[in-house]
Amino acid sequence: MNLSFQFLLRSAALIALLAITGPLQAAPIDAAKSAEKQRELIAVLKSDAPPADKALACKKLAIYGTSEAVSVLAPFLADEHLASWARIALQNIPDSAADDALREAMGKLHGKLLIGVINTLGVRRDANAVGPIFGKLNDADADVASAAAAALGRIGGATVAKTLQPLLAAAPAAVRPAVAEGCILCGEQSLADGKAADAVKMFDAVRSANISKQKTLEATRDAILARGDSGVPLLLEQLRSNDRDCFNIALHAARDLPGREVTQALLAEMNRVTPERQSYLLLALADRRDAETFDAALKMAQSAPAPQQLIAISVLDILSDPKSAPVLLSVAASDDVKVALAARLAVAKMPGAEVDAAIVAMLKQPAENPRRAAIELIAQRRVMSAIPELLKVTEDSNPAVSAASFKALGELAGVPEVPALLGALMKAKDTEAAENALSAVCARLNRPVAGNVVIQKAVYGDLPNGASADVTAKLNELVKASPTVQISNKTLGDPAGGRVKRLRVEYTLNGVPGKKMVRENDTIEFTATAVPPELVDALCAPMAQAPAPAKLALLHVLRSAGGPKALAAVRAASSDANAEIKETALRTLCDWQTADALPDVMQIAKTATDKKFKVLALRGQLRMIPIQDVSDDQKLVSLKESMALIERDEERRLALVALGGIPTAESLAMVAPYLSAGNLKGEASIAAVAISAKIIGRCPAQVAAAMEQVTISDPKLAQQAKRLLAQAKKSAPKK
Amino acid sequence: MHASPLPSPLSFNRRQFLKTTAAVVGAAVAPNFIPAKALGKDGFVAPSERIVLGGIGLRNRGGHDLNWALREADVQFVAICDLWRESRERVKKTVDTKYGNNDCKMYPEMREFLATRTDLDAVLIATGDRWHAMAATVAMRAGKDVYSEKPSSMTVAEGRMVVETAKRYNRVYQTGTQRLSEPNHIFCIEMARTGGLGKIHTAYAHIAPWDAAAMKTEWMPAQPEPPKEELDWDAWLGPCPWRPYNTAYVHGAWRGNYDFHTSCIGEWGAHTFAQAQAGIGASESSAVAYEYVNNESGDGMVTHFANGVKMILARDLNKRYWHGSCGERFDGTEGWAAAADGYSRPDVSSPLLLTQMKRVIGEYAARTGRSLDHMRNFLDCVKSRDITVANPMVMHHSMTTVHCANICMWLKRDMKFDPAKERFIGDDEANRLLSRAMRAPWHA
Repeated sequence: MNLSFQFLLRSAALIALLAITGPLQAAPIDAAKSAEKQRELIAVLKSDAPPADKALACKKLAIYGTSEAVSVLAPFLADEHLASWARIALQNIPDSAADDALREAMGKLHGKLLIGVINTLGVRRDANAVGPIFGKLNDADADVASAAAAALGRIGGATVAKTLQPLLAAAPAAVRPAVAEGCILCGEQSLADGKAADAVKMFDAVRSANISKQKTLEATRDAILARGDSGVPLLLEQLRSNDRDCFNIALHAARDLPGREVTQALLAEMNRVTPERQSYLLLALADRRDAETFDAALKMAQSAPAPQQLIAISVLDILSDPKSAPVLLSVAASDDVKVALAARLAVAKMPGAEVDAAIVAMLKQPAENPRRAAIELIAQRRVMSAIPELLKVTEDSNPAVSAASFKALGELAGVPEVPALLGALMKAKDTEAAENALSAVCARLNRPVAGNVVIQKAVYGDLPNGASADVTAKLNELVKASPTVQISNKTLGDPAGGRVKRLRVEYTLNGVPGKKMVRENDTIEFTATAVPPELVDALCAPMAQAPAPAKLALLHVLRSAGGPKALAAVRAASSDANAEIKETALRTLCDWQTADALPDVMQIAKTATDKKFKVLALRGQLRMIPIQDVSDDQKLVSLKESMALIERDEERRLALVALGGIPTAESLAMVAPYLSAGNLKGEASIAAVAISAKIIGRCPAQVAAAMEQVTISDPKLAQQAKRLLAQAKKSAPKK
Repeated sequence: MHASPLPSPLSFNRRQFLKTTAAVVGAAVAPNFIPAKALGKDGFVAPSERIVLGGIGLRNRGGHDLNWALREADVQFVAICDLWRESRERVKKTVDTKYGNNDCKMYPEMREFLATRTDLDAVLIATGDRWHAMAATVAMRAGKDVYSEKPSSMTVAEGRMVVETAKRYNRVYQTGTQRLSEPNHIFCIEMARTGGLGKIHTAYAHIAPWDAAAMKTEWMPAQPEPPKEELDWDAWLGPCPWRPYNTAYVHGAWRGNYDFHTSCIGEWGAHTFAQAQAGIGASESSAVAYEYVNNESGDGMVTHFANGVKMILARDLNKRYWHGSCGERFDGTEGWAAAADGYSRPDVSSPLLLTQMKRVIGEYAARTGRSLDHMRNFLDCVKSRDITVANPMVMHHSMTTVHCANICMWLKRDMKFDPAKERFIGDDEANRLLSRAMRAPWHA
């Protein structure tokens, strides 16, 4: 990446930052407050406070300290335990007084304390410390000498370079790695200061000093970069190396070394290396973002062996240039699954109307692969203008192509396209693909709508144990006005002043029970979902004239759509003369998702002569009764009616589950006889415990009677029953 | 050939090498290893093809990492370095039991360990948080590839140190944000990244529901230090400022202390910020603005990214966004998706989205060539020199957001940050918290 591009990137990021966060202003620093804090912290350091307090004061002075704090911090540099804390502050105080104090301390310290101070002077890049640190290069303690060499390198400059370079050979063996580090850092400083020739000398000196492979590699990379255009021969030398580390470091340098000449050299190198090395080079070239890379990648994507072809495609994916679309689309139709997928993914997010046009044109190709690739891309890119073409393809003689087209239509079509999709269903040989597409459209277009909400219990306050208030009535009023309610003191009152409150609510939405817990100032929504009525209208319209296979498919789709009109259409089909349609309609009614079909299934349960439908209908009603939007008493009436028709334990189990969701004394009484029934006592016990937990406050005697009968091996349930029994006995009126 | 940490969108796209080139490139070129599975050897791996692995500080979480690595047929774990005798011996026992020999060597001191074991290709690092960046840096300087547990830096400067070291020494590095390799999270990230949820406007990142952003600064009462051979307290402290020994620190009470921990924000944010930032296209940047929230944890803090997306920190005590731990969630104009630990499948706004799960994961695998096993991804990259999923840049940019969010909470004010310069804008006090002097002899 060249410098101007880096500049553009950085500028763009900064502009974006300012644009995005415009309204948010960084809070100003309160200078007076900071000064006050510094005074307090200095006072701690001057006091007899314990070391822990002084350590904390040092830490805070790293934020608030100025030159005023330096003289107080400096003595701690000689403190074995607090020196590290003092350095945290001194390293950050942006005043030359800190440098003066650190340099002064150098003369008095040894060992790790001295090393710490040298390290900090290095981090601060104190040019005045060069002399004192030079003096430590010959220290008998190799760790001190090493710290000095590294710190000098960090500070940099011609004097440092002149001193350090001879030490690459002359320093004791233990210090030489640090000298190499210092030389590299110093060279990098020279390069940053525009003194490339000086930098090259340093890097080459480290390379020839042969101190360690890591240092040699590091210096080699820097030596290539410092040479600029002239670094190409050294870069190529490393790229041609049989040593993997040299090759790798050269690839790194190839990415960072700017210049069009470098790109040209790398492209030329691609022509003389093995296909494997070509791949590595191409990836390095891709990171340089030069235009020439595009042509090289395009060529490899067309003709290279599969592994290299994949690399080239990944590069084209990165570059995302619409000019590569024709080649990538052709590759997307290849027989190599991996290569084809990679190419398709590369095109999927490539911008440009011309790319869309090229994809749609592919639909007309005779072979299966290109057409299937085009269909998948149309769906992925959401090319809505291609829907008419996709509809034509649903009639394709190749079933795989036809099915793919239906699938894509399911992902793209909206209400306006549904009549045409229904037309395709009427003509389809395989109706399953069309049915799935229509069901997918229903699921996709499902939208939130207001439902019948009944708040059963709402508590607002400092939950779970603090002050709270019952807001059931208030919340019921609010949801009648809007299904979206802001939970706040303003809407619900403030039962626990000064505390962050929460709302716990139990409710039914269209008869389906639910519960939520939300925090103060959150919004709670009580909405159901439904498909748009015009979509249901469109689906119902062809029911009368549709051929049998299409009608069967539509019955399934209508179940996905739901709603009264769809239910009416299914109900009508349940009297169809065609036995298969009639059976499918009856099954659809029994499997209806809401309780709207309950009257139908109750009728089927009573009147069906075929036992299969009787059972299906019974199961359907046992599922629907609890989700009705009616009172518990009415639910019990329906359940009693259903239970009278039950002949098998399988359905009795479902009835017990349904009873468990109706918290009344009567439902508990209906469960009780089954608590001792061998096959059913498990489900009965679960139901009884669930009911009892909710009615214990108002019906303790009934709960006690029921819980005494619970004999279950499940320890958790048994424990709950025991607890309820004890609680019920405690609150039941004494006889 | 490690990540080129240029701020380029092109920097991290060498993935197909893993499954392809690595198996065919000649021994003279980058991958000296050839994946045994690619050669159809049914898991048998010749010694010359194995990755020679060592460990630094593999206690607790490190034990999981070790077992994870030991499952792989192409790994030969040979040595453990730990300043704690008991931990060294425990790891040795595990390894020797696995291999049926007595070969695992033990080292108490890290620099000696790295200097002596020139045979190591890579190291696993699972020390306490305070050591992660320094140990990774020292190991990479010694020519080792690194798998490091999270949080992988204590300051922004430490994160930058890891990035620069990996680049300078051409090392493969993976941070232990393993959810980036798990299908549920990948699904959510990919759906967000590729527009499957419409235009993303808000991401939510889970932060730990315990501890606070403001951490403890007091010292525990001094106790006699154990013998150095048993536990080297000076080495335990490492680059952190000195404090007296107390046994509770080494048994886990270091958490929640300013010098050793990155607060409730870093505890999970090290994972979840990386997850969220991956989905909003900000893996190579960090947030540009932070809105201070007046509570103890940073719960509800809104962070802004340069592309206009907000990422909100959420403790989610009411389980509004997740019903598991370490979750992320993406809200777009056409739907939402969320994942957390313990999910059998992601939570989504419409069941229809889940029908795309197989395709999305398949395409991710095809596009990236990455394993859906985090450790395997690291080991594959050690061989291929490919870019890991949780590479230094991913780690550094997500951890930068963690550190800046912490600083915002500590100084209790709104802040703006320039990710390119890695400096706060107009807040010199905040800038002083971006780095911390290391205790000698350690230095960046």
